[in-house]
Amino acid sequence: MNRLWRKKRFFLGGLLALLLFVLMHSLIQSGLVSRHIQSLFVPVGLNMILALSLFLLVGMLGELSLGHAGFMSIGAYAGGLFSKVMMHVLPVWVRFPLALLVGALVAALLALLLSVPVFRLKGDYLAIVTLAFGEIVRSLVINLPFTGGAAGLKGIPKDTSFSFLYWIVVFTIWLTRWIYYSKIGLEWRAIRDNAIAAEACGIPVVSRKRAAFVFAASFAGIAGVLYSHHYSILTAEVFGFNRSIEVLVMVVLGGLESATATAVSAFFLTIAPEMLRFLNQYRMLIYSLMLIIVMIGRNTQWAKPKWFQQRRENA
Amino acid sequence: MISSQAARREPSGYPALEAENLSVRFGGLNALQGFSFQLGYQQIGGLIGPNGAGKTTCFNLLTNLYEPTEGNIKLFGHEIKGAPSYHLFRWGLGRTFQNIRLFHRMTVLENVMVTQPNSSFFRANHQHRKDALELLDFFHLADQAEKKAGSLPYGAQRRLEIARALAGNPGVLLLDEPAAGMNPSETYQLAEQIKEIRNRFQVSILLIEHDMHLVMGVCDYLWVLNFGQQIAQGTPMEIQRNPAVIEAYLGRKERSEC
Repeated sequence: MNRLWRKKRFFLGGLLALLLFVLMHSLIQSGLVSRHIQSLFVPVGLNMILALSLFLLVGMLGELSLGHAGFMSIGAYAGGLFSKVMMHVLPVWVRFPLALLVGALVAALLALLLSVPVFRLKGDYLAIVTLAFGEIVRSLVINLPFTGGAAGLKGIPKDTSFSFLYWIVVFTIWLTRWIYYSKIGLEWRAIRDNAIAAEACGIPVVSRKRAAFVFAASFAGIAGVLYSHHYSILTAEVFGFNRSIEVLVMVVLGGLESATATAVSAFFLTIAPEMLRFLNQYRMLIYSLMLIIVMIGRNTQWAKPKWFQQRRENA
Repeated sequence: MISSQAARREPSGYPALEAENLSVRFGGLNALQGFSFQLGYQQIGGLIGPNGAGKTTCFNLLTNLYEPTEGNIKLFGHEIKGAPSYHLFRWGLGRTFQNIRLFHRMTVLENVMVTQPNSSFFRANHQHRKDALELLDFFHLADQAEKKAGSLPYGAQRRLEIARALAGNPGVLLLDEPAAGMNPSETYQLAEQIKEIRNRFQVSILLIEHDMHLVMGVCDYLWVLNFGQQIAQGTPMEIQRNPAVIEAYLGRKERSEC
């Protein structure tokens, strides 16, 4: 893969994103897309960002985190509170980017604090600590005086627009792909494949792990800010353990090898439950069955067409 | 700290790698006892001995994976005590492992590029890619650069591990059983290649090996360990005739046989 081809692909990707944007935007404007479909855009976009940020940790670094929704929650509340306070002070085009920054920074800061003790642990232990962290965040949010408690935080300005979300998703996909092939991405993947060899090859394993953790958390924080500024109301229950697992399923189904596959997997897993609404009470049953079949099929030969297998080997 | 490349290449009065009175104890086991050696510039040294003699333990001490109970290690005249393993690589100490430890889900090219020094924090530039391909070409791996490292045949994986260590531009290279699992013709090629590596990359090499053809053909100097203690040192010719070494490998002759 040489430089020219990469440049070409960058412009092709950008062009494709722009075309898709114009298409979707005009469809919404003309009213051809039903309200129901429109209401799916935001969850799809948010899940893509979340899945991609978790892909950094699980796919590239190879560490399991079960508390990713905790960071989203922190970002959502930090950004939401900031916007609520600044609602009548700053105009929206200053306030919203600042809210995104605040959400990302607060999530990153907490991730940094957590990463100091956490990366003394590995594998299953890390998973348990992050799981506990997610629960701590949830119960803190319910009990703190300024978060609205169990009733939720209301009255956050609705700043997230479709076009803004769309471009943030495109940027995240591009950024994750870029990181994947960058020096730090290489180092993360080296740590995933063999931590002992990575250390012997001049990679400071613990500090690189921390960097990945902080980076992933800040992107989850951004997803949280986008969430709070779309729905305008926040409750702690939304960011529970279930959500962390949901995102993890998207990442694992994406194959842990490619950012694009992760985004595609997030897209399908978000719309699938909605597309199955006609099944009424059997909906979640069929959805779970589908998930099981796809997960098994992912690793068996018969599910992959011949040309796909060959492409993978050459890649 | 050793930063300039020149410091690693030019003899500065210090040996490239030096250990003094190196000892380590695991509980009641003396894994290594009072072992001293000096590896000169661009010398190929060999560390041999029967199984369990303490050779790999010695390597793990040299790369700071274990902490010595006694003694010290100097790399280009600088004490390495307390430095984390990844610092040693940046100071010019590269190593391979007895059981291959490649980054198996990354491509061959990526395996080499990840250890290149001074490549920018984010994106490796064109020059780095070219350097990496050149290095792979030397190890006959250039045509498989885009393959996953884990999919390579065994011998190629061994070569890739050496290439990966060399990409970091080391001054000293530690090879832990480079010929393990290779057939005689592969071993012969490897021997030639080790000498070429020394000349082309100007590195000092310390290797552990059980294959005596390789050791005797390649090494300038040998140290023989048995039960954690050095029992002999010298040139390959001297070692071959040393009675203590013969005894350690083959056992003592029964008196009745004489």
